[in-house]
Amino acid sequence: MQLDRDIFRQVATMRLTSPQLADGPLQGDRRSPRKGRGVEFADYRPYTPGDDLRLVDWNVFGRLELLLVRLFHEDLNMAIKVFVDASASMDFGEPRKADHAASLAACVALVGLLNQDTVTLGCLGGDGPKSEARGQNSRAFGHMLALLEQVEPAGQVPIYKELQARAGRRKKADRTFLVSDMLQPQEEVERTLRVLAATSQAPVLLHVLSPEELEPDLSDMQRVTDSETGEEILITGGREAEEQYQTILDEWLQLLRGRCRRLGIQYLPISTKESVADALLGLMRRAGVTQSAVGAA
Amino acid sequence: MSGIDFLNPWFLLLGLLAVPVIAAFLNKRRVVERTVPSLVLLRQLQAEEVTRRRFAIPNNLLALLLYLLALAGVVFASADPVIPENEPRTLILVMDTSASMDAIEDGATETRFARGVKEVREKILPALQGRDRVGLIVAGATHEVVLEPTRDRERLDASLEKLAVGGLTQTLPDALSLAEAICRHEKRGEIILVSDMAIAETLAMPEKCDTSVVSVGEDAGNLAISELAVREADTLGLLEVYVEILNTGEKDAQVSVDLALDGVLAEVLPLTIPAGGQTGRVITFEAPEGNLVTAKLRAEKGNALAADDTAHAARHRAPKAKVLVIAEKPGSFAGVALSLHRRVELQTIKPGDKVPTGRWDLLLFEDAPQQALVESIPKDVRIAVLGADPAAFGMKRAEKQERPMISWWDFQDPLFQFVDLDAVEVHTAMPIVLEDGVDALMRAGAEHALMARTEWEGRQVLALGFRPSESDFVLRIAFANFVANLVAWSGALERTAPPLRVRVGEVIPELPAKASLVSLTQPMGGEIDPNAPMHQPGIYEVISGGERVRLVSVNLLSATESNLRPRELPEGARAFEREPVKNASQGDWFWRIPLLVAIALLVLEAVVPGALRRGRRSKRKHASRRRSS
Repeated sequence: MQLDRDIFRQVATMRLTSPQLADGPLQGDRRSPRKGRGVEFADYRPYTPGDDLRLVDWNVFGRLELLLVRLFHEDLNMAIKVFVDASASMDFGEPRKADHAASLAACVALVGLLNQDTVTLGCLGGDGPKSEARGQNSRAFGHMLALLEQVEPAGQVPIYKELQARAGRRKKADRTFLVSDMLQPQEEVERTLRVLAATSQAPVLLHVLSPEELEPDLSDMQRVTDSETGEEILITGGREAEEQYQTILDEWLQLLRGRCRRLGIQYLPISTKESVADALLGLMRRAGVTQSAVGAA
Repeated sequence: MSGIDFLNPWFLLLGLLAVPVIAAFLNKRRVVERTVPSLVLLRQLQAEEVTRRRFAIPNNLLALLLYLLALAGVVFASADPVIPENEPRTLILVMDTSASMDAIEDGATETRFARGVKEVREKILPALQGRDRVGLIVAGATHEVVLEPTRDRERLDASLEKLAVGGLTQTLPDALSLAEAICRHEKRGEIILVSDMAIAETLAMPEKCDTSVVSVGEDAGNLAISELAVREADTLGLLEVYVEILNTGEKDAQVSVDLALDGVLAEVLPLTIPAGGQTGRVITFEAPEGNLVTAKLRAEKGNALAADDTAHAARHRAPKAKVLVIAEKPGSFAGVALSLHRRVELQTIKPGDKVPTGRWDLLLFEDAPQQALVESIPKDVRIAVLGADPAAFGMKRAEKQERPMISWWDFQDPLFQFVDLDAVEVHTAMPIVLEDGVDALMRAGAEHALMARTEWEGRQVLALGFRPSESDFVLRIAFANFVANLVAWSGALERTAPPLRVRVGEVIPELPAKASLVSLTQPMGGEIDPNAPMHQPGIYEVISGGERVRLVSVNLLSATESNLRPRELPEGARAFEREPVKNASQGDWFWRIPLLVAIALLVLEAVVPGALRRGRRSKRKHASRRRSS
């Protein structure tokens, strides 16, 4: 997949929002539900043998002769997972949906890495390494880029299976991004959305579609072939067909949006005609997925 | 501007192509092969689509409209529309097809006629508009309307292609009158004469029609046979030929004339013809056989026209005369002379015999006949009595005369053609008594005749008052000629008419009813109309009732026609303007307009629908964004 590296500079000042308390594996700068070492006082608890004596509040012991240990809010980073759909259907559009999706995923990953979040990036399907790239800082970004560039969209794999296999091994991530066109049979879409919802505290579906899918040229009669299944159908074409397609597309998008809402998935439709920067700086920011890193708590 | 005219109106039928175009748009079934990411959405569309009706409203009405407009433009342009200026013109082309138009000047590669046709095709016809009409009149061997005024250029082209050169320009005034008669009834009539102007200076131009001349002639020298005459120098086959050669060039010319009899070269006559003059020469030679005399002029240069280099003449030759000699003893001088005559069929009987049945031309008595023979003489026969007693035929003999001197004979009588009786010695004579009805042909004195002619019971009788053997007449060539004249007098020659001489363009006169013509010089020339002016020089045989009636020689033999020097334009004529007339090109630019429009529409069809689609997509994009938001 081809990446648009020019946009990486533009996303350096962004930060992924954490809708809930972060529960990353490492110490970070995000409020977490855990109590531990930190700078912000949270509570006291009675001393128990084995506690670090440095945490005992000696002032309270002097006044009340009680051995209380000070508890602090522990700041952790976010566990972010980014999955890119690399099935054959992503190999379409101008620019190619796969390239657009890869650029989006790389940007999301970079935003996470720059904010010390633990980012796991993987491709669902496609030709290339099946491994994931994981890291907590920008040094890992190179591996992620290499992974994305090595993978080419191909094949027909139910992405819910791969998503389930990769996301279900560990605990829920704080944020899971799935970049996909979601062009699958309805039951697979349903399963994918369910798995996505189950794998994260705050799942986000970046629904990438190309203009050719949003407004296909159906003026002529055409014999269309499914890139994944090889199935062929004949379409009569014409103005009525184009209008009909728009109706079907609208209904399908409404259905997808509705399912995402019910499952707690943030649904962000993205056209490949829009630049990645527009999507990140505009759409995702308006949706509250990203925010400016300057002044963020 | 009085409307639009089409040079090729049949091309308008191309407009029917609109039917399949519309049908194709109504039922556009161009299948495009495409691979799509997924059929998830399109599969539902297919289910909807199959229920659509077969004929739908065209999905791109603008494209259909543009296609139809483009087609209309192409059809319009193909039909060669022209804008006629005012009234259409009627052009009467008068093509000079006289023999001089067949000339090729020194340095030229084509005949004057070919140049004329080229001028017509390249200069005159392109200047015409669609509604203009053109008629064609020829002036050559004949003057006639070859093509009535028509718009059909192809017919005109075909008519020009069929024209043949030959004949005299003497028909040109009549052709111009004919053209004027047609032209004067037209609103915008015009006469164009295409000629080399090698014509008589007295040519008058039409006064009631605008007349211009396309002159295709250039100054050129020419040599021609201007006269050819043939006659028999004697009755034994000596031929006298008179040939006259004309030189219109500016230098003396050395020529030779080949004389052929029935196609076999008989004599070659070298001649020097002075510049601008003509030379005639008589040549006599033995030509016992052959009826058709052909003279062929040969010159190395200064001879632009070939048509006048050949002339034909026919000899007046009779069939064989049937002569019956009545003599006691065969081998008389007359009998021998007759037996040597090539055109005599001779038979000898005795005076006591009867005349054999059949047709006889001449009965020659060397001895007096008996009564039975006299009674058997047929009616339509001529009788010659050479020395015998002519009493049986109503003539009397006078007393015997010794050594009479021939003092007079009738020079004018054909019997004495080539016969010189001067100093003929006659030993003994029995002169003929000149009574009523008896004419003297030869006298020895004023009283009696040595030769007389009378009519006996409707038959011509000739009597000689002495026996030829009793004179030295038989020792002279005059006797042989006299015998030959006797044969000619027998009337055998009269059974065929003398040959006729006709010039090209003339009609053969005095033809019998239901006569037909056969060309002897061009046997494969096809059927010839005997009542039409003769086109082709040569010798023709007039056949009537299955028999040859006479020969006719057809020749150009015209000093005027052979003089190829163009004359100045006569008064009232103007030279044709070779530049195209001003309205000639209007059709040109006009028909390009629809063609350009058609091309522009096709480009529009390619560009605009794409723009429309893009516009439609843009609308959908906004709608899509609205959906997204």
